[in-house]
Amino acid sequence: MSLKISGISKSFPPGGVKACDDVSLQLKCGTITAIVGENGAGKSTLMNILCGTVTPDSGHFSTESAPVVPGRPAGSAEAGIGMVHQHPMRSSSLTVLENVILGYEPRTGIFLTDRAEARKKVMAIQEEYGIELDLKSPCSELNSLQIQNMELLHLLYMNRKILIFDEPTASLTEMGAEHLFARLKRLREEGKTIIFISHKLKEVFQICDEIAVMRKGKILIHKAADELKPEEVAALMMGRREDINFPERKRPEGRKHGKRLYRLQGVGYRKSESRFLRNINLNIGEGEILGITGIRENGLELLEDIMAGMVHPHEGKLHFNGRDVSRSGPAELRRMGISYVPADRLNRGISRDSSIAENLILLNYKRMHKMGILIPSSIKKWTKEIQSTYSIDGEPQQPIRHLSGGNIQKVILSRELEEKPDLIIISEPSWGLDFNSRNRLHRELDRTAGRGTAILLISSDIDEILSLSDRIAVLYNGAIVLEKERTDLNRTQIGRAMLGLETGR
Amino acid sequence: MIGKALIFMVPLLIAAMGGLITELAGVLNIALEGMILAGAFAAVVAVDLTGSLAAGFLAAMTASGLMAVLFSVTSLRLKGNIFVTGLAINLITPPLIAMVSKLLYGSGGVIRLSSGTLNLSQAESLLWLLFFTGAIWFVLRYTPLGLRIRTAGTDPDFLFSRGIKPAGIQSLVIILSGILCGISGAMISLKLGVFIPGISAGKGWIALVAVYLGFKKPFPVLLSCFIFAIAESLSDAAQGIIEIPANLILSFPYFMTITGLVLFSIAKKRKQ
Repeated sequence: MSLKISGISKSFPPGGVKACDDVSLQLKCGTITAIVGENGAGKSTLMNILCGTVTPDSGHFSTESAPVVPGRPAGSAEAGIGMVHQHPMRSSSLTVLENVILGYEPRTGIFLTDRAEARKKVMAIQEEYGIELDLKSPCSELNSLQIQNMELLHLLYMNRKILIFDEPTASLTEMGAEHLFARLKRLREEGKTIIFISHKLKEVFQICDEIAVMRKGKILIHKAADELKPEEVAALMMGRREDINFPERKRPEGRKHGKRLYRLQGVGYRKSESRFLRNINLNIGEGEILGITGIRENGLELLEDIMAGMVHPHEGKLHFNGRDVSRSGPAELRRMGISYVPADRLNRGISRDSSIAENLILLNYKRMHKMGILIPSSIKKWTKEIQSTYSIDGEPQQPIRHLSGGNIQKVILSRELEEKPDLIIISEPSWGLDFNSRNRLHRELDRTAGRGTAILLISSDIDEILSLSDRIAVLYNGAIVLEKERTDLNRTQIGRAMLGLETGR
Repeated sequence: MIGKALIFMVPLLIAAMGGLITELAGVLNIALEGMILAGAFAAVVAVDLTGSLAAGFLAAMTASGLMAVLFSVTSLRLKGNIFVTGLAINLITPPLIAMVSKLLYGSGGVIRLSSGTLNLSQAESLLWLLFFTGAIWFVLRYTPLGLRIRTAGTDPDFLFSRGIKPAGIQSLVIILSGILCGISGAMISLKLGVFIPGISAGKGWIALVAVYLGFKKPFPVLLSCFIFAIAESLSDAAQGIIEIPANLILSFPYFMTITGLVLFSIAKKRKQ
């Protein structure tokens, strides 16, 4: 079944940033169409609209038989649209068969499940598409590939004709990916319409018939794959930009940095088939900002957890000031002078229901008590001081969750900076910040590094990395593929390395 | 003694099955106790008025079912905290009974039936035990409803994504548990031929413990109910023989409950 999308727009929040901007696409029956784009290009929003979980502000889409009522999951399901999610919903306590048929069980009479019928139907599909899954085994024993297969099995059981695969290879090994591609080809032969979401260009060119590039909510190009070159697509995804100037940066470029402070030596970690790090070697000196970038799911989160002491590496060592800190937990790292500003600020960075003052004194409340009783006046005085130094809004007694994202980030950062750390590990610092708070934050980080503090900046935002870092390392598929001085790099090179197209160190 | 325990455990097991299905659907059902009491009272009143045992059971199922409707509306529809609403059911039932009893009989106390008590033989008891356990096991395992009950508890969002409202399943299951508690309560009071305030004597709580102790599976729950029933009949038998204060002997089943809970949590920790 073919799918026609016309003029779909969607803004978050209403009237705000356009996640989808007048998107029109024609998808043919029996083709695999790739939709590629950077994080935040609007791919997910578009797919959620197709699935009916997000209502578009304007525009419509239709299959060849009938228009689809937007914003209703049931409507999209009836039209035969289905998505294989990156992390499919499932029930671990049920068997595979039960997961597949839940909600649409064949029955004998009105009350009984017709298990034989269900099994027969599902097994026929399994045979047709070579989906190997033991229907009797509990879902809790499946790996991520099998869980995706289970969702696909459900969609085929429901006879969906338009299948969306949301970054299906993000959590697959090379072998698993090959398997998946063979199946996609089989589905294409059956006349299914397939949408393949990915930012791995190699695969896209390997498997897809057509490619559509999305950036900032717009479809920039939609052509047959053999009319396009990978370089061309990469350039479109990243956007051709003039070399940006760095207004926030006050430190001199190419300066020699102080003595080596922190070092990762052959660090490796294996969490699952898809989440791993291999042989990470990095070091950072006093007053240096080391930017570590990459597309999410390539190991950034894992590296953050390891450096923050939340998990310990399976291989390799971490050294700080000449001491082995591979087995040190967060509290010990803090005592040694390492501060941590997490990416997941709301859960890890603050206590959401506590006040601004309480969040600010979390690290140094010991200086504000008399015989175990906190002194409100000294807390208030200190909080006011910090709030005016870092221009943080709000009354000290206000719950912190009333603050904006930018102010919450300032609370966390000021709390960490007041500890006068030697090293700050800061991850995705400008997530959820508007343009001005972002610039202010960058200036603060620049000043801090200027005072001799080492900063490990983990960010998937290329512009942020480029404007702040002295040296840049790029993670791809769990390994560092590129590491150079910032002055030797440009935006395109980093973008290509993030996609696995360029290496060098 | 085992025979006595069998007769004794029928109401306990039926309530436990009600607790089991709600627990599986993700509802902390602490209202079992109150619903049993409501059933016990309604049964005695109905038998007193009509003289028919069937009417007694029907009235008990209706009364407890209505309490369950109240419980489900307040906790699911009105989104009250389920612990508070469940506790409210337990707290509101005794005074409600006292009020109705005062209106009907002029006293809020004991109601004695002149005729029409329920006599269960050991064989009949065994049959009922197996019937209720087997029926619940069958529904959970072999019907779409059972599948949905199990998913409502562990993965409600997943169930919702398949077009089924978890809250709908949960209220259905709460009402079912109310009906089961009605049967349970009717059995308790009609067997004795009398209603005494507080006659449920913690059966609802013990049933809930039996659910956890039986790893939320029907037949293991049957087994843990049996252990509690043995404990209860042991304390009955010991009253005349051993020279221990009667109160201490009567507390034996509750002591067993606490021991059971501790053993359960130890076993669970070991498993992890």
